[in-house]
Amino acid sequence: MPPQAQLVDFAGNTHLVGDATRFTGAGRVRLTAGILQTAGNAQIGTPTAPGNFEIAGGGLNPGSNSGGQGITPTGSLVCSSGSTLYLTGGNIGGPINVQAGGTANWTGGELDGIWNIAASGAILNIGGTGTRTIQAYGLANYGNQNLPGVLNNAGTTIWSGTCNIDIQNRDTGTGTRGAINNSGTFIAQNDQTFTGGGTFTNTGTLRKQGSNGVTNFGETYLSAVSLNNSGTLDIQSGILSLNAINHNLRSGVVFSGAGRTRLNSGSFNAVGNFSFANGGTFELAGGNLSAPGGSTAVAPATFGDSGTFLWTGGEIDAVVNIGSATSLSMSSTADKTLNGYGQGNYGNVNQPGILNNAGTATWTGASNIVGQNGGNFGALFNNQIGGVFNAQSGAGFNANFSNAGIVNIGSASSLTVPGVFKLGVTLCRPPGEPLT
Amino acid sequence: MFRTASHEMFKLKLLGLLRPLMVAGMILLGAGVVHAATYTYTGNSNTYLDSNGSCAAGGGGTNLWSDPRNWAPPCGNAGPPGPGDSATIGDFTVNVDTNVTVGDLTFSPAATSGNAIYVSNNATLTSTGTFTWIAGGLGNAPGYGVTTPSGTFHIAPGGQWVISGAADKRFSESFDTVINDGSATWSGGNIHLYQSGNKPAITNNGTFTATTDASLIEDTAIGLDPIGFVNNGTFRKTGGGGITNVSWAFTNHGLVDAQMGSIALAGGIENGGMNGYAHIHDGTFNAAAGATG
Repeated sequence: MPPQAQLVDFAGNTHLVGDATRFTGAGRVRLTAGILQTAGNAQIGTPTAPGNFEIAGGGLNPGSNSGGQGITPTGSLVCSSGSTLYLTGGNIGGPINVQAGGTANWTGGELDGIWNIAASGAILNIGGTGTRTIQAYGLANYGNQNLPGVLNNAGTTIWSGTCNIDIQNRDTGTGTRGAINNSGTFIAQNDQTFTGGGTFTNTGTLRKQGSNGVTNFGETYLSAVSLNNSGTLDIQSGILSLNAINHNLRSGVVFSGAGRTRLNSGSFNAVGNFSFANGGTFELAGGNLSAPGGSTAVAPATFGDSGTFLWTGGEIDAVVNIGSATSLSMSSTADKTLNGYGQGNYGNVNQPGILNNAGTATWTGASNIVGQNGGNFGALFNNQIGGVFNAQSGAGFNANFSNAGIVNIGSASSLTVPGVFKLGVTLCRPPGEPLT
Repeated sequence: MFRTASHEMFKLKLLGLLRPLMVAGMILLGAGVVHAATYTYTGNSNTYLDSNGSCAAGGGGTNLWSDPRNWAPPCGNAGPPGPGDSATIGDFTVNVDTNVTVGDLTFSPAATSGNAIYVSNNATLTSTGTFTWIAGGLGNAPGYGVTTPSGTFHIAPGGQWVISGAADKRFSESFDTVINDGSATWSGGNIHLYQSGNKPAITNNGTFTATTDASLIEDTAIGLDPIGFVNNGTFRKTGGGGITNVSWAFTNHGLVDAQMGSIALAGGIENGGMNGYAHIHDGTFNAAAGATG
């Protein structure tokens, strides 16, 4: 909560603030109604006099040269080092820049403009109950420019409380979506949900810690938020769950932490080199791991370093490489599918699902491994040189299989390959038990 | 020897002619012995020293500050009050039609009388001492719809502007009405503003301190008052634990400082952005620590 202290209150109408405007003091300067319009960079606090500014109602708008319509965004509200911005209500339509050492607390109201959290010590705390909304259109820009709400975090954002974050999508002709762009550290300390159909782009660290439940990126096609990730997914506890729509993995991804990143439904469009750290786990539980749609040259998705690719369901529709230090764990009762044609590539390249294992693959549980259209389209489990395939399941294997490594077949298991079976180096079977 | 009536009349006339010079001389030569006088506005009913140096009956029919018939004491120390003098105006309306510098000035009409001090004829009424405003109105435009100021109240550097008493005060048809280069202390009574045009009613270049929860209240119809208060100095609230509402259009180029309670700026322009009007701030807004009232 903002400090209970003396107030200077902007309580109505339009207030134009500029480069020389300062908000200082241990009390609060507050906007409760009307418009605070930035014609320059108005500043919360100074190097010698920190300040507290609260937006409790009304709107913060970028400067305008004609008022109302025809907005030309100018200026911003700057939260300087040692100062604090509180958003407890109203709308932020104008740019806010939280500088290094500055703090912003968001417990109410909507983000309708651009909010920049600087690197090197700027902090944004997102909390409270209900929903924190990032609009798909700018408050001040309706009728002209559809500038969506965007949160650019290069510092540290901490999401706590029981609020969801609604990153909205008005993608009906305008193409505008709310967005979070994280190049710093975004920490989820709760088990809440991103909703609204917008996007979350992570090139920094997306961390989950302090809670053992699930942080969802939406749950339905309309509500899911798309994760575009080339950064670190540091899931220290619980599960980060991706759902319903297309998400993207690109080179640079690191799966980290004792928890796991889960594709629960939808599609993970994956290409490039991914790694693990700190015992990280990626789980394919549903949906499909696919190559980029429409491409003519399909690059693989390569998982390397020490960690776990946990395959508990869903489809592989791309070329997936499992590195030598990586564990591939195939468990649970749900079937796992190597798709024969590649979900994302029809019309261009019929890339079948190929799983190249150079690490240690362990198949347990009652789930089948299905090579969908495998015989005709080439879905393949390729156990490479150095790769170990531990078959410890009594379920069915219905895909092409190529082995240049080691296959260990457990005492209660069998390995039946209806399609192409290429025998490479070693098949290990307990003495006296047949190989099918 | 005989003292004829004509002799006596001659002496009176001579004294009458010399008195202003004598008074001026006393002031100029005083050097610490300035004999500032105290005047009370009594309307036009007083006796006064006429041009012949004689006491004449009052009743000139004016409400002018400059009319000596309007001031007490009457003959012998006739007004109007000037530099170093103290002036008190009660339940009257007074028109300041020429430049005036006065020491202390107190204006205390009946709260509901509608009386006011107007500065006209492009004159300036300067207070170098303490200007105490207890009730009534201040204005400087001759009538509704006039958009140019015709005079100014000036609180000189080092001067005091004391706005006190529970009665509401008002600015009526005011433009560039008060320029405060001194120190203003507002301890009671709402201050109403009706039609400031495109000039502020108050321009504060010094300090303006509210020790009350009273408010600056805009009475004008929507959109007519783009400027009410321009703060180039310090606008501070140090007393009253509640809210001082500022519904005048308020522009801050200096410091707005809440040391106690709240200052709420809700100023008088609706649809400011749409009309091209806004409260323009390039100063500092400071809110001190402490419990909110």
